[in-house]
Amino acid sequence: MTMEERGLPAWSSVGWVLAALAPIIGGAVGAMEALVLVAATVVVMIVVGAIVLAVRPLVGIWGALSVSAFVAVALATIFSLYLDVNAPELAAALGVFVPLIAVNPLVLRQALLVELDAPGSLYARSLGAAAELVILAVAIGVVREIFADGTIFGAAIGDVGADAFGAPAFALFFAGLLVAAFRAVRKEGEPKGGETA
Amino acid sequence: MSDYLYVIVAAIIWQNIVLSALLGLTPFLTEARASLRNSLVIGLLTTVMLALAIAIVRIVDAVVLDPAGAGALVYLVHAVVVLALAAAVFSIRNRVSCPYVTPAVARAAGFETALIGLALIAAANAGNVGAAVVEAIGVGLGFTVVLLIVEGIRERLEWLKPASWLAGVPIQLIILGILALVFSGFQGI
Repeated sequence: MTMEERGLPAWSSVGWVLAALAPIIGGAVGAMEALVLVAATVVVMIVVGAIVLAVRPLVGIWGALSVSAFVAVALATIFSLYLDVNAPELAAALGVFVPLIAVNPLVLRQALLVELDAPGSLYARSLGAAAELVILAVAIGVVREIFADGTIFGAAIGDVGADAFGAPAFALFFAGLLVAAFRAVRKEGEPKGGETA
Repeated sequence: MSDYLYVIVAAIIWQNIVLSALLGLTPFLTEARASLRNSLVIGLLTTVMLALAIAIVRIVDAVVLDPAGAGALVYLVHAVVVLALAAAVFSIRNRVSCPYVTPAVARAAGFETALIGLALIAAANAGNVGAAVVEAIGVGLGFTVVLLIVEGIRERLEWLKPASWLAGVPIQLIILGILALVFSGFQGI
């Protein structure tokens, strides 16, 4: 049964990773902030994923979704409080995007849960999603930091910065080009002659 | 009154949450081919659920959490409220025949309510419950407007048939980037 037949949206692999990435590219101009958000997201993803797999046989898919939502929000709240106390400058830079860490794993987990039933492939796809998330977030963070501030991970590389490149519009352009590049590379790697009329 | 009108117009145009904070992008990034009708239903349902969720969360925060010194639990309360609202939407949908609210539409609206609601609660711009609800309505309408514009452009793009590596998500993100530039031009008016 296809996902459309189930009444669920079909997600492209890069598409739903980008959906989770959107708050990150919107909130974090610098590579370091992006890395912190992605690291927190991946940790929450792992914990939430483990809990979902554990409780799903007991409480069903909707029970598992509810439990995982609570766990994700609780973890994001703890992370937010930790940043407020120990890294107030980073907490201020990340702003409203810190609690959205709770939502990112839910996007990814929903896509994984509805698409896959076999736990083995679920683990593989989860790892792949986490890897894509890290690559995309850091790539966007680095490029925006270079063009907006003229730095990489806070280290100055020259007077090349222009504030306009820190705007959300640039992040959207770059994200679009990045997905297009992913697709072009993936298409290039596909075996030829496999198409059907 | 004029303050509330300003908040709504600002949330729709130059402080549009989709174009200024890149929130609420999920419907744009799904491969499922939406339609203008679906976009409108998702947008309006999100607006209603967002206004209700923010009103309930702000009241609970003011009456229970703040006096008890448990303000950090506000996100958990939001999660409970959104889950309850989503369950209510599904329940109503099952009892009343409503062809416009498909499971995918209801799910997308519930998800966006959770996402945008979290951002609104974290930002805490509005001073009182009334102002917070007005802000939520403005943000929801802004989300609806962008959803409709992008869907309209996407339907026209199908005629142009862009290269396969550019079609779908990439071209939609680039269109959103252009829209973000256009809408930011209204800032300061």
